[in-house]
Amino acid sequence: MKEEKNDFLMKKWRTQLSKGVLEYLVLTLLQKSRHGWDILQLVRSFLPVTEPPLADGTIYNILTRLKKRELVTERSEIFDGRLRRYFILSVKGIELLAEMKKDWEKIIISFGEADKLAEL
Amino acid sequence: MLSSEDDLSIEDIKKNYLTILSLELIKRGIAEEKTKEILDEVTISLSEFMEESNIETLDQLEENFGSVDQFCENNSLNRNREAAIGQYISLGLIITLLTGIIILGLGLLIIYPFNRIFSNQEYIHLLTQDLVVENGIVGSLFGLNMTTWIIYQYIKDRYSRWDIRERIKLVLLILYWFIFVLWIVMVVSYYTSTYEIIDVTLNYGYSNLIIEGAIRWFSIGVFLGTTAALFTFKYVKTKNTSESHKKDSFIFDKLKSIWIYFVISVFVFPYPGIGVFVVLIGISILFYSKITTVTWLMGSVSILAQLVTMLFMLEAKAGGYVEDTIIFGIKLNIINNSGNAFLFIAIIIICVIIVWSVACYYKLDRKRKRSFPKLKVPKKKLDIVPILLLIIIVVATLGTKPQYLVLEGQGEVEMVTQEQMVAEYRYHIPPVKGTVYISLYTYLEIFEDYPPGFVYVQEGNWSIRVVSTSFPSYELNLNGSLNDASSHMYYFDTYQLGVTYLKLQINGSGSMMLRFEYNHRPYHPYVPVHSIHWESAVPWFPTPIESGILIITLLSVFVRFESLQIGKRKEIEHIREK
Repeated sequence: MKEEKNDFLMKKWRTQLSKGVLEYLVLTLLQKSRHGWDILQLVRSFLPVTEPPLADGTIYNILTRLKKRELVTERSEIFDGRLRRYFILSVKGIELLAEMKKDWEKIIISFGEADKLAEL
Repeated sequence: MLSSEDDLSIEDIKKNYLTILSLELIKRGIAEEKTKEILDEVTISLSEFMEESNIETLDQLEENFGSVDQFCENNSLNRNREAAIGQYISLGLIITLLTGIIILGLGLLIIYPFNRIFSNQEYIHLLTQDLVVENGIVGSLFGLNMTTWIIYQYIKDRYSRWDIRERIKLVLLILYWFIFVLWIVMVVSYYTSTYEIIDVTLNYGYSNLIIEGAIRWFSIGVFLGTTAALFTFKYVKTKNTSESHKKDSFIFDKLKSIWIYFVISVFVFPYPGIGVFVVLIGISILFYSKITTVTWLMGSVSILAQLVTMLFMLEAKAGGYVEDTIIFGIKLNIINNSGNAFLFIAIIIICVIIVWSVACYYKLDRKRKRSFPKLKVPKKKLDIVPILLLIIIVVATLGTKPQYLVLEGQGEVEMVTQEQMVAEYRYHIPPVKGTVYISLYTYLEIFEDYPPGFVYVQEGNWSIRVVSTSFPSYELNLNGSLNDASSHMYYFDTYQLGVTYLKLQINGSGSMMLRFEYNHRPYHPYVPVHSIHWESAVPWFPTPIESGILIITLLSVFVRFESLQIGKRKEIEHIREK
């Protein structure tokens, strides 16, 4: 019973964690030019499994939102007779990612300090 | 309805997916603004995803792109029961209003032309009144059109074009044309059922009234037809694009919904049945519109306008010209004497203003807390169509309030001899001055149980005596025969109708005695029924309230309210720039 409860809590935690860092992860990946499918695979491999699993649509939608906010730029190419879109951070996106990284580093440091406090 | 799985184009698959998503978002109670943003974003994502993948069915799309449920869970769009109930209530209110328009429209048809033409022949005199549109038909049609407009204002930019609720616009489009069809049915009904009367009246000094009525009927038709056509044009234009309706707004869009609502409640819909509906629209405006100090001010002025209208009505009631007291469109039968009535109405008005002010205070848009009027000079060329429409509707609706002439006491029909019969009636004349047109009607239903071979013909004399009670006093005496050139006899299927047309110069209030002396008695127990139709010669001139409404309506188009804070901010920015 206790294990089941922990399983449930872990699923919830993973889902929340994935949602929280999803946009940050996509921005980090887009420091290099990547196409949609590439981003999808990388995001899935980097983030823990969520319930329900992260849908392609969700990640496509994040790309749409980032484009709308002018944080990424897009170029299209025909590959094997199919349209392929490549995304990369814009100047605005690079600036935002730098700010986000600072916050993220602070959080990592804070967690380290919190751990040290627990050891005292 | 969702398209079937067979023969689905990419667009259909996309549309079906978005429709399912919009339903899911409503079920989860997601706010309208957020829903619009999500649907617009997903539309782009879907288009891009489908361009890159080889999707042929909705199932494939849900499998690859993710189901709507998965999408909502991934994006933390969690279920909120209370918010979902709120969404259903909001949608329910709109559906109720739309249903209300249909019911009221059909009700108008039943009350006016159908009832008078097909079921109750006694209303024949009202048909001529309808020809000069003096009984609220124009106002009712205009009111229904404006109610449709108010609902459109509410939903105009509220939903994404893929939201299932966006289909309300199609319903509104149908309603606009439904109201126009109502107009066509009414015009055809009236003019085809009264052509004999029109023919005589045109040649009998009534031509001005008939032409004036025709102009009004035509004007409201042009207004209804043009607004329906404009809305159709707008609907078709924006249906296949994500372009906002804002750019396409025309002059009515600049009027305040709240103001239009009160105009309708005060002038157009004074009848009790529609009052509840009007109050319902008012509440929905209060709940769903952006409330600013301007809205509060206009609402308060409009509520006070009700008070002024009521004072006029009380005067008319005291004079015996109206039987019912109607406030905010609701009939009040509890008021019996005018002293108490004034106090009662004043208390209601004060209470409504307090409720209105408190509601506005809580809903006030704080950023625009202090606004001041400023004349707005149009920068671009004015659109001529909306200005013409405003003029047309003013021409059509001014002076359509009924002029009352009240029967003072029930008329008496006296059997003088076995052969002769006399009928006498006494009317109260309202305090009007100028030319009035009076039509005297005497009609008799001819039943099948009349003795075989007996043919009754209305023959005899009529007389009218007008005595003034105002200063300077005067007395008028007129008389004629039912069979001479002054009268016209019509024979319809089951009854015969005698009409006499008169033109009188009235100067102030008084009383009028009407007397018929028939040469023959109809078959016992049937007696002719008498009625009178009174028309003022100059009903076009706007009343003081109508003038006030016109001025404020024009001001609301050309005056912009700007907050002092914005003005100061601009001033500071200007200094900084220097």
